[in-house]
Amino acid sequence: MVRYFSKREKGVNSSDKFVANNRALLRDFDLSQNKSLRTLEITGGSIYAAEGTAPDFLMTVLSSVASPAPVDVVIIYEDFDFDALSLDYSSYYELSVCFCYSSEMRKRDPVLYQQNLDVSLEVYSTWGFHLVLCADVCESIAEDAIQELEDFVEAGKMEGGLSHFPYKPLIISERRLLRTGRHDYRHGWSSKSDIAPASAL
Amino acid sequence: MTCYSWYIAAVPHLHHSLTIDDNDILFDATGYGSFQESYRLGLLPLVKRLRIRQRGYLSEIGTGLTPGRLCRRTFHRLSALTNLRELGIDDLEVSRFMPRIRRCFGCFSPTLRFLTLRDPRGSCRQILYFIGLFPNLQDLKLHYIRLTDEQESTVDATLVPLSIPPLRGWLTLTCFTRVNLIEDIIALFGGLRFRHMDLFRVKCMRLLLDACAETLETLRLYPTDSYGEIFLKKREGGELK
Repeated sequence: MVRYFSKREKGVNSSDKFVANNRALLRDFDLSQNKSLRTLEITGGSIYAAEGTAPDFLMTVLSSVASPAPVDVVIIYEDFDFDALSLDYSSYYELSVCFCYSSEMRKRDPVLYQQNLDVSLEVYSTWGFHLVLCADVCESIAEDAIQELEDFVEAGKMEGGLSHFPYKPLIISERRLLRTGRHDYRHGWSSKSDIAPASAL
Repeated sequence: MTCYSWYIAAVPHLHHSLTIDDNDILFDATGYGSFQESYRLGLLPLVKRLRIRQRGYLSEIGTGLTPGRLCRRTFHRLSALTNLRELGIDDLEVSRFMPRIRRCFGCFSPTLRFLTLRDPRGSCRQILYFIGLFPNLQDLKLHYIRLTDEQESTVDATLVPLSIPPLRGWLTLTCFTRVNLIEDIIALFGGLRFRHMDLFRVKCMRLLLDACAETLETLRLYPTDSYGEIFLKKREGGELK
């Protein structure tokens, strides 16, 4: 995984109100003691699998960050976030977490596209942290994935959700060999049980 | 000549990773399978990454990887993996390998940096003993399929790992409820020093975050974590507290 560490200051966030409301959550996810924390990573699939609660969840966790150094928030999009186009449209809803950013999907299902875009904009615009979008995909689709993410950010700007976001998200890619496992979309993560390398098991 | 040069350049990459499953192990007696072929051709020293996977017959009957499934020839061939850096094993029945587990997997001790165990079976001390076989281990991944509470054996309480691995890289835990194992690691390895953690449905989240308070640089979380699901229900019920 490419690690990106920003050197700029952490932006002001409006998370204080969440602290009071979500003490139960913070009992387990309190990061105030982790002074060396530099990067918080979340998978794109889990954001959408959380069905709209991801922004509050992440805001609550991020509100506890007390690291003196700036913290980057990296959203990792994996192969299945991009390959919905390769699926039969009739089976798309069986893999409903497989969010696709393409304009093609926008044409196919504008309502779903708009819902996903709205969730993304809420996540992006409420964070006062430097945002990094990472395409963790196989090399053969890396360029397309980057382009999709750039288009998606542009779409966000058009919608106005990113217009007041102080920093443009950084888009990076992690190229690697072909992944063969596609599992457990329900939880927004891949169990990767069919992947050959132990590192990706 | 050109082909030979290309072959020499490509062969380390071609044989970098090797996956064997229970079919390979079962066929081992007859000498078939990719593992046996790689051994016969002297390619195993090129392998940096090995995964022993359960997906065939043994998986169907619900049996994990036991010494009985590995014949003597397989053990001998494993020792040819002299440069192995990453090892992944599915359904390892650690308890069944005790007390001779070092004889089976100790050959990886000098080089192994990354260990992945998927649904390992055994007491916390037995698993800790297995981890302690690898003094240069940096990354550890324990992947359980579902949340379960395992019975601990008091017999193993005196089992002490043979080394203290540095464990300064990635810790990845999935559906992990074995708090005793983390407590034992902290006690017997002198604390936790992981710099990166990937945690999903981990019962001892607080313990891990506190233990790595000084070293943690990267944390991967999931809004769909079990705590996130509780959060979701509370949010729907409008009783956030």
